[in-house]
Amino acid sequence: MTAQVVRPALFGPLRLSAFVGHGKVVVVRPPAAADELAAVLSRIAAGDASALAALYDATASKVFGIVVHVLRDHAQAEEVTQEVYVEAWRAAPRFDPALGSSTAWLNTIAHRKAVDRVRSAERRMARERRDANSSPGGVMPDTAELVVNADEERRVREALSGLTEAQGTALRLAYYEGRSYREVAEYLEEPIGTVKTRIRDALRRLRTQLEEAPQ
Amino acid sequence: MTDHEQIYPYVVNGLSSNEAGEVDKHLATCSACADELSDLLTVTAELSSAVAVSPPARMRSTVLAAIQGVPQVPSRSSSARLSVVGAPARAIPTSAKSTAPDVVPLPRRGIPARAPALLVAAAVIAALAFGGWAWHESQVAHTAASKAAAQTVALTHLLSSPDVKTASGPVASSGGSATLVLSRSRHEAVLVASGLPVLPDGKVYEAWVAVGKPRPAGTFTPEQATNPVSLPATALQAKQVMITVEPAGGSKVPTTQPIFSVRVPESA
Repeated sequence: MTAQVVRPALFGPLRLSAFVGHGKVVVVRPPAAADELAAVLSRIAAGDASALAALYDATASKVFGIVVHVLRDHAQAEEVTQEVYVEAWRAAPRFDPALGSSTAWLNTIAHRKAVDRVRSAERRMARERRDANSSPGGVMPDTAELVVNADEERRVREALSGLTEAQGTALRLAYYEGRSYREVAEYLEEPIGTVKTRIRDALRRLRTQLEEAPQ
Repeated sequence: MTDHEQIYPYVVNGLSSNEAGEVDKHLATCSACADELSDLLTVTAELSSAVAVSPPARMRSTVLAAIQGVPQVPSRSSSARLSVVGAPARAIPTSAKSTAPDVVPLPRRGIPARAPALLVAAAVIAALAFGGWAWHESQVAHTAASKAAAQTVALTHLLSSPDVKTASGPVASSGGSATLVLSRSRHEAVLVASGLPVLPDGKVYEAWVAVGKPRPAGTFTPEQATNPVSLPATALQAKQVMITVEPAGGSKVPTTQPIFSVRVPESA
């Protein structure tokens, strides 16, 4: 039984008017939050299966969320989510807190696996067909399914509203839909260089916006 | 050549596997890009947090069952021991520790074979099943079964990668053969061997990856050789993969002639 996943209407047309161009302000990074999950990962690295359960409980909605968002298919998202945790288990000994947070590490695994899955031609075609069949305005998301992470969602939505529409579209197509930058360029009928620039500028601006927004 | 700009499409996994491989190499030598990457991965993690969705409740037990018996990769600090298949050669794109390749060509032995992937896949699975049985015979039954299942799943995934490549060759003087299986999109490379020569006490097999001079890629015992052995990510960029027989503990450079050598298949 494959339930189709409907994307939350989080990224509608982004309003250029919302762009606040104050120039560079002093960026105060949030203090390196005690990375509790890093301790969990080191227990996993030592072969502690109960620590994997703790990791799962703390992160499953984030992992499943991005995976199902990219794949738009529940059955596949469940398979890939399982692969993500198996890989987290296997690779935990390689996790190096000096190179980034545990959340970023796990998200990298999750996003990459979802993209690997979606980027095979067949699945791409299947997804395009589903896209073509869905009604133009989109269907309202099943709100019961969306995790209530309203604060984080609002924070990211506000940060995204600081992007130009072109930047937001390029980033959404690349990150949330798992398209390569070449595919994004084809889809938008824009030069590859333009798309790369938009993705770069989107990421940089987003970083600034998120740094300025309180957690 | 990779310019610094490639880091941005890389962060969103928007590059082809070849391009991503180039960035991996670049990251090993460019600390500015490595820092930028680590920074931007925090941003993408936040993008993911914003679309969190609860998985079905049944997933938890499925996941916890799935890790049973799955081997873990050695930590980077430990010596380069080979682990069984399934260990990702690269788990996160911040491996600033790979070594720059050398350029001295190495005489090549063995015959690279480009058998049709499916044929090789079937052979590999058969070899795995048999090797798995031999190895797991002595193991506790349920651990053995789940481990074998996990390895089969991992190998199946690798073999079913759209960009899977294989290269086979004979093992010198033993009548055996070995196959290198790799997928650049999955960042995995494994060796599957059968009929490796019997080793005297105090000897191990050692794998090597070479762009120019062969680099140690870990040692393994005859028992471990009955399972696929995973190679470090450097194998994906190497020209040649070899096996020699070395004293226990391994050597820094090969001290014997390779018993197996195969050319690493290029990307399609």
